Amino acid sequence: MSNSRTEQQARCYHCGEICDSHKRDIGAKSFCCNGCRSVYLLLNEHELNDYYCLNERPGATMKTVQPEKFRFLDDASITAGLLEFSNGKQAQVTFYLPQIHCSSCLWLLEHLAQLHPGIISSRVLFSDKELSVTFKPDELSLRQLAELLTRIGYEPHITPGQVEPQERKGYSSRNAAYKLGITGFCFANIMLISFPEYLGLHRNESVALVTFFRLVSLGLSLPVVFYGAGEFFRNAFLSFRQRYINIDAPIALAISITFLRSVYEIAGGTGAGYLDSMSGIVFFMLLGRTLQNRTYSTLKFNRDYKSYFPVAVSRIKEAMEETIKIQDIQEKDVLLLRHQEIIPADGMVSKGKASVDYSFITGESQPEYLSAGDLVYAGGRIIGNAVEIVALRDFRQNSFTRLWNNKAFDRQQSDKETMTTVISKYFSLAVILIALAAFAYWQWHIPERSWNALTAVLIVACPCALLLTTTFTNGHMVAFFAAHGLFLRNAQVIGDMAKADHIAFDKTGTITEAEDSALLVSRMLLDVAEKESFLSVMSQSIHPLARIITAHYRYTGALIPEHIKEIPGKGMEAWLDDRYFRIGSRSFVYGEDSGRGQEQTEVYVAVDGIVKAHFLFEHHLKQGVPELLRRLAGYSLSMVSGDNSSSKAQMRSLFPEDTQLLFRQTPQQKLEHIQSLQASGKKAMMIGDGLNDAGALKQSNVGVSVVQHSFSFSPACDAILEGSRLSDLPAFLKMAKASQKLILYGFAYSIVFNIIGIGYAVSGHLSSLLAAILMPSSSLGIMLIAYAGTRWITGRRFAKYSGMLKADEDHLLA
Amino acid sequence: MIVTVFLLSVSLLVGLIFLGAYIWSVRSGQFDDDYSPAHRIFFDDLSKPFKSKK
Repeated sequence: MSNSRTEQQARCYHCGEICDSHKRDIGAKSFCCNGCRSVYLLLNEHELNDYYCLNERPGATMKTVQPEKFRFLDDASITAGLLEFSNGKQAQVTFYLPQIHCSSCLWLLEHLAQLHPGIISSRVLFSDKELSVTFKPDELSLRQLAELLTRIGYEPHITPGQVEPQERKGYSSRNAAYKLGITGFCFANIMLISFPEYLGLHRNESVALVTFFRLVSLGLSLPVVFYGAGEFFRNAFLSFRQRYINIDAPIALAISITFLRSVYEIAGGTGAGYLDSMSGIVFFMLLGRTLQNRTYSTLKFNRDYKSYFPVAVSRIKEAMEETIKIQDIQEKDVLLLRHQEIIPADGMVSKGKASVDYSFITGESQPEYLSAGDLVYAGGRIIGNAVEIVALRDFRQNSFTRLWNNKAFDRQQSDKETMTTVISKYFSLAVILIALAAFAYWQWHIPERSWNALTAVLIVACPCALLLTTTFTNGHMVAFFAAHGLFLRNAQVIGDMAKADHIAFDKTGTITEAEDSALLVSRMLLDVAEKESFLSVMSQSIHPLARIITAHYRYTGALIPEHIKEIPGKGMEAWLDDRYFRIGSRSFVYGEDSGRGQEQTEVYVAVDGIVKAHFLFEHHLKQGVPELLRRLAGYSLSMVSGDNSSSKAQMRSLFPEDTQLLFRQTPQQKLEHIQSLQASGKKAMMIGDGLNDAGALKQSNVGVSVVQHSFSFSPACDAILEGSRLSDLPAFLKMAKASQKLILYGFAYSIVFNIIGIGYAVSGHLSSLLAAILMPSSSLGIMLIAYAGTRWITGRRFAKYSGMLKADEDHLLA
Repeated sequence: MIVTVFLLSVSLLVGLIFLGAYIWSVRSGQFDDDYSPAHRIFFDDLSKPFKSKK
């Protein structure tokens, strides 16, 4: 462990990250980097200090900001697609700012006008993490606006797709609200109108009034059946077309039979039908669905590689720099890439020296060092100096877009066999058999009662109770998970989580920190002068290992070596103060091939031919990883990494003994690993973070993508887990299992009501009053069970197991 | 019994007015964002508009 990590746990005043050796202080306030510090200074200057008073450490880390990123916004054709409105004097634009997360963000972003006179007003749409800004384009260009936002820590996320003009998404949550409102209105009024019927008043009243009441409730039930219950009919129809029965099919059947029989009774003047119970059930089912489907529209679960790339890049043509859209990159274009920019197309370096970080693409943890003539692959991130590359392929023919051609990505998110569909299949079968048996019996004895019995059974034994337990339980679970950093694509994922019995981990970014290596000094025989010289040589190099070493010793001096030569992939040699330094890999320093494979990332230092220092690099484990693995004892585990086997020893000691550890895996091999697990009957859960895991995440039964902040890029997956919550995974899995049991209990409870109801129904004596009592009371009971049960599951018993509760308490105290 | 019919119609009409109000409020986006309005109300207004430098 490097000392800087353990010694001072000072947290950045702006973003709350632990400050390392680069920290910068202003008075008593620490900042983790220059970026955070300058945000503070900027806000301070404009008297926007309240930002820090509303919430503690509200900012987003400024470490990964790319300078010059928004150059493309100078291009008129791109800005035209972004601006919603512009008349020359005023313009309006809406940015997606994934960093929005608290009231400080809201406050600062709505006071943007304080920062620049060119901004007229700004308004946040919190749930969508969007900011609309009205500004004066003559005083502030769109690029300047984007850069201003970036400077205060809210970098707009502009994807290539957004620039193309497109329809704005429909508000499905609004549709659900309309449906719920209208169905609820009709349900309540039908209940009200049916009250005289329950009390038997109609016997004393005129026939005309009774008929009027019944016709009004029939009228009110029309929107319930044809609008509110529309989605049940649609889903049932779709399931029939795909030749399987989902839970909506028996429900649609029950609703239509109830409705038809009610119409028949009202038309014939024989009764009031069951419109009240029917609309109640539809209302409750819609309520459950809405609860379950409250989606987190700000999280993108379907992102593909395209949103990982920038919108535009700089191309150098005839010694002029111009900005082109990324889709327009062609073979042999010369592209200029700066620090932190992503390589948009496979190519060859033509000018400059830099490092490329492929960790997101391949899982390789150490950046690769580049100089002219080297090949680079799309998706890598440039670190250090600007380089020019010649594109060897068009954007569309990138090396790693090929992964997306795998059929795992074509697989439609088909309705998997969930517990609910299995139960509903047998349940429906049983109900239909009972109904037919009752029909046959009465046909034999009193034929005029047989239709009555048949329909009554189908009405009373609708599997809506099953749907209600499922939706209410899942709804509560999804909300609880989201509050604790696990965001599910949909409620079905809970069932898949409960079933998983194998967990496959990615290494870089999931178990270990992606960018941060710990330095271990295993031998140090350099004297003070030699050390000074050695560090000055190191500071001349931009190799990532050299950077780690100079950062470790906090070297700031600047001796200039007399002669220095860097041999890519091996090391460097230098003359300084009449000493000859050879620094680099074992084979380079010892001058011979040691024969053993590369088990460790290491650097040797030889002075005048004598090896005097040896550094080892170890990966920082993410917080809580050893404990996490210990708690997952009931699962079989495996690890698939794209990285080299340098951390094999470290991983071996971490995982249980018989765990399969795979290194140097291509994205395709990772996917195949999951396939082979599934072929052997395992239900595999994949936990990864990078694009290199995308195939495996998609193929697995549950793909969980671990992100540092809930707004960073994550590949397509079933669930997104905040990195800091990784150690809670065992608790999440336990809760998922418990919630599946709860659904079964709720269903068993509803069976009791069903048996009573069916008892009356087969005898042909189901009165509408009885139905009106039985159905809502069973529904309300189920809702209570679901609520109390999920409270219990997510309460102390499980939470204490995970430290989740502790975290919550800390949060409350803070 | 015409008064019952009348009263029922009036009560339904009142209900419909409220339903209409609800639909209007959903359509105008009042339920789209349940976070910012609740917090916006706590913010003090900054008395000075734009200030370039102290």
